[in-house]
Amino acid sequence: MTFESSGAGSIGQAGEKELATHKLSFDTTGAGGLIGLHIVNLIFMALTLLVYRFWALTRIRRAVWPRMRLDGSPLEYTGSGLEIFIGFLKVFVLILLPYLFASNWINSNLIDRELGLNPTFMALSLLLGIGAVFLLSAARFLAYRYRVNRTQWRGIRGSVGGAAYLYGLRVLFYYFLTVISLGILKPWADIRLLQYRIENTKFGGRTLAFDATARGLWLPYVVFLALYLCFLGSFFVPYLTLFGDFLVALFSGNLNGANLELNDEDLKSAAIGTSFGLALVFVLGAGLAYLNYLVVFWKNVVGKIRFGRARFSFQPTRWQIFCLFLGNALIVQLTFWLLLPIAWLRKGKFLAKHLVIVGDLDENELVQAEFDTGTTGEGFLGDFDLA
Amino acid sequence: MGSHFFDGATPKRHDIEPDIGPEGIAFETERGALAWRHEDLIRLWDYRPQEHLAFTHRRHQDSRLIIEEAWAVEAIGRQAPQLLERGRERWRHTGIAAGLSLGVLTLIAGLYFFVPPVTDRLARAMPWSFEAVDRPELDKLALMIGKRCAAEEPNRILRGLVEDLLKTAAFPHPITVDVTSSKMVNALTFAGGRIVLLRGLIDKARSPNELAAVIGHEIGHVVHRDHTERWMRENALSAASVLLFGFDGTNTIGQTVFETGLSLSYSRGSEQDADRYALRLLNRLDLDPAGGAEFFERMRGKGDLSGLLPGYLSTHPDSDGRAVFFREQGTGTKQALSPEDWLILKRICDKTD
Repeated sequence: MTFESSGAGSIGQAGEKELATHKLSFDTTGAGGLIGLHIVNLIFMALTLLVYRFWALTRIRRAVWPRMRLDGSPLEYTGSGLEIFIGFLKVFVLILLPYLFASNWINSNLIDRELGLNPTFMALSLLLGIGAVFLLSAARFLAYRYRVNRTQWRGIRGSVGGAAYLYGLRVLFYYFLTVISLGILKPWADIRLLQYRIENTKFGGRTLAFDATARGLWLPYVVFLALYLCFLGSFFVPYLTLFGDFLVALFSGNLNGANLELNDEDLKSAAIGTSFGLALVFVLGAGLAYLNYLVVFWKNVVGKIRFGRARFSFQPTRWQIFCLFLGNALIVQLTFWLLLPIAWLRKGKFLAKHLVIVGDLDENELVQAEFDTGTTGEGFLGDFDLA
Repeated sequence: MGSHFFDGATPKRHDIEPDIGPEGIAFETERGALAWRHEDLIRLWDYRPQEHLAFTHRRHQDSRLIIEEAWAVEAIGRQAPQLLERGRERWRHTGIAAGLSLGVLTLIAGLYFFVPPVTDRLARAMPWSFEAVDRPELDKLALMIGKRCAAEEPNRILRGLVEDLLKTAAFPHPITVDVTSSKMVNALTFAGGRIVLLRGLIDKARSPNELAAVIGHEIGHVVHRDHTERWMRENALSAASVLLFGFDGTNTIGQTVFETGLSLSYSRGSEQDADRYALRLLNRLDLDPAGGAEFFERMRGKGDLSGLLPGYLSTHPDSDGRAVFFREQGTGTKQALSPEDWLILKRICDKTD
């Protein structure tokens, strides 16, 4: 009789083999209907000067959500255009209008006839900018909350707790730290903000857990930051040549006779030739580095999400993601946005292929959460916890 | 695969065999028998694949009944055809879009027809101090429009002309008119009753009445409180724009066209009102309007782009129309200054501050 070794590793391997894998699939058939819907939406939006956008968004979500199936059952979107529109109207009257008038008043008083720039109004203008960041962040949280609240699978609803204003304050705090650290803390700030959203998200009565850290994100982000700084620095290349002349003159002991002024021709040729070429190389490099950062970021964070005993995994290669991005960009730009639905379908298919849910979903224990879905839209003031 | 049911309490799938009758659909689950009447069923039209039917119950909207077998779909079609035919639902969004279009048109009509008269009254009702606080000092404007022309005798003559016009205007707040050294042919009205004529205008003017017409026009802007009115209109336009296009910090082409189109229309309205005001002043002083008409005739196609752009893309009304208006409606016969004074006034920029 042979016994298996009793090491933790062997138990782990055997255990993992038994874990259930939940299958995601994405239905890409009927693309023509989706394109037709998109074109009708565009026409309606043009006729209504974009006001129809709330209904257009809803129709698209209702058409795309059910294409994603988990264990054979489709997702559902139960939101409505009217809900979002009414939410927007409330925010418009109670927040956007006062903000707009305050903004116009402050901007029209920014220049003082005696003092030039008026310090009081400059301070108010700064506060206004901070207020805009706060409002947009809170609005983004509300939009996320609404989407999750209106998503169902097998009749079970998602929900998001927390408060939008707390999220807005967190954004201000984390990005303040990011700014004073010259951008270096951004991966940490991104993780903390995502943590707030995920840890407040429930599906049925069960909360998602998230234990990601910024480990593994620093190097890709620093590479991006370095390339970005090089891009900014490339505009100063003409002045570097001047600095070179200065060093040569200094070490040759001919500092007084050196010509240390850039003439127009030098400046022009250096700027056009060197600066432009370098700027192009660095900006492309920075773009790719940022894409790489996003890939590492999402692979890292998805792997750290838990739902009961189930965990998630997202492991596409960089090349696959690059092809998805490039392909979608070409499809959208070359067809003047008319074939945008094809890009959605490609994204959905990609997600279904690479997102894996491993472990028991405990369907018998997962129960509907008791909460009032209400009629709040993506911008309802109550979500700001101010109403 | 086959028909199944989710009870809305857990995601557990209950396989069922539906019994479709004239009153509704009956089925059995591990928890017991259920019977849903046809009139309580809400069809979930977006369910995929679309050959399957998905329903929820009017009173239990988290539960889902999925019918997959072809025979069962056919049976439902026979018993309750309204559950298969989308009917008016198909046209719902066309109705929504039509209603919204109507709303948008009403809003635009409101902005076009009602905002100007309302803001006109509101602006005139605002205390003068509201505007006077924004009155700029000339030296702060020097970078843009040059230094103040300070030749004494020409300034005395200009003051005389302005005083005549202001006496007729009978406006209770102070209005000042200065000339600056910019060579542009233009005149500007700032907040708080500050009018600035640019040197180019004086150089190109062929008669004192041309100048009087321009000054009268600018006085019209002050008297009509156009500075305050423009501020109010801009606020109204921004609000309407956010209402229509949202607030995400990016300007779409539609938004730009909307804001610019209405703003230009407001501007043309204000200019027309200022023309009417100027003509009233000239008529009361019995000044020959030909000067004003000639000014606009000469301006035609010069700098105001009226020859290139259609009228609705212009900040000012069509120059030809303005010239005709001055000729037809003007009743005066006199010149605003003697030929000698006019020649002296033309040398106003011989000295600057």
